[in-house]
Amino acid sequence: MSLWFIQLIPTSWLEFAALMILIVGAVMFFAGHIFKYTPFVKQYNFPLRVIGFILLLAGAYFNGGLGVEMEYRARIEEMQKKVELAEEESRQANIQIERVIEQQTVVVKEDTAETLAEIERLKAEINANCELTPEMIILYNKGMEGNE
Amino acid sequence: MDRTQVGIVILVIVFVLLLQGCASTTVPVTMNFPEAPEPILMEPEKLDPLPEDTKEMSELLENSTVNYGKYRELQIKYQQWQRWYNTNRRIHKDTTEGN
Repeated sequence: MSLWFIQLIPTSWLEFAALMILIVGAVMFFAGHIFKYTPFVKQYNFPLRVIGFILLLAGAYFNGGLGVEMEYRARIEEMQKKVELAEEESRQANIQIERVIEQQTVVVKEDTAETLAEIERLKAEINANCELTPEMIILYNKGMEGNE
Repeated sequence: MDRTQVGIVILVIVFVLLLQGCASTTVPVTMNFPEAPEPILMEPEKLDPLPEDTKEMSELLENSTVNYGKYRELQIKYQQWQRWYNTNRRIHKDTTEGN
């Protein structure tokens, strides 16, 4: 059994309902006692007292439970705010991460281009003393691709 | 139903109501799994192998420079993956702790 549906009822309605159940219960309970000594309505005194007693108990329970319900709602609201803040913080972190990747990648590409230009400039000097053999290329590629 | 039975029924109802008050009050608000930024979700680029007909040392140097560049780009993304994880882990902990 769950009272999940209470979540759907506005706070002011709940407060009003809990108070009314308590008041109606008290009125019926005491009216039942008075009816005991009143002619014509004497026969209604017992049902009135029983219903009044039940309503009184229920009203007391609901009034007490209302405090817990209000605290629960406050916690939900607080949690929703925290989640919203967290999601916003996460979004901001993502934006920063994207920016860092973009900026640093540009730097890496510039570095690579500079080094390639330097190699091109020194090409004759680099190639003067050494020529690559097919075995050297195979070994070089193995180091990169693995032994597949 | 005599008066005793009515009394028992009333008592049962009252107890059920009272026990309902002890029901769990876990806050029904959950945090969505955070989205990772697009650049760190991309497939990593493959390294360029050296063409088999390569003869000159300069070509080898060029090839390794390009591949180093790719590695460095991947290194940046990897570091940002770690940053993303640590940030979101902290945010999740700060948000859900005590609830």
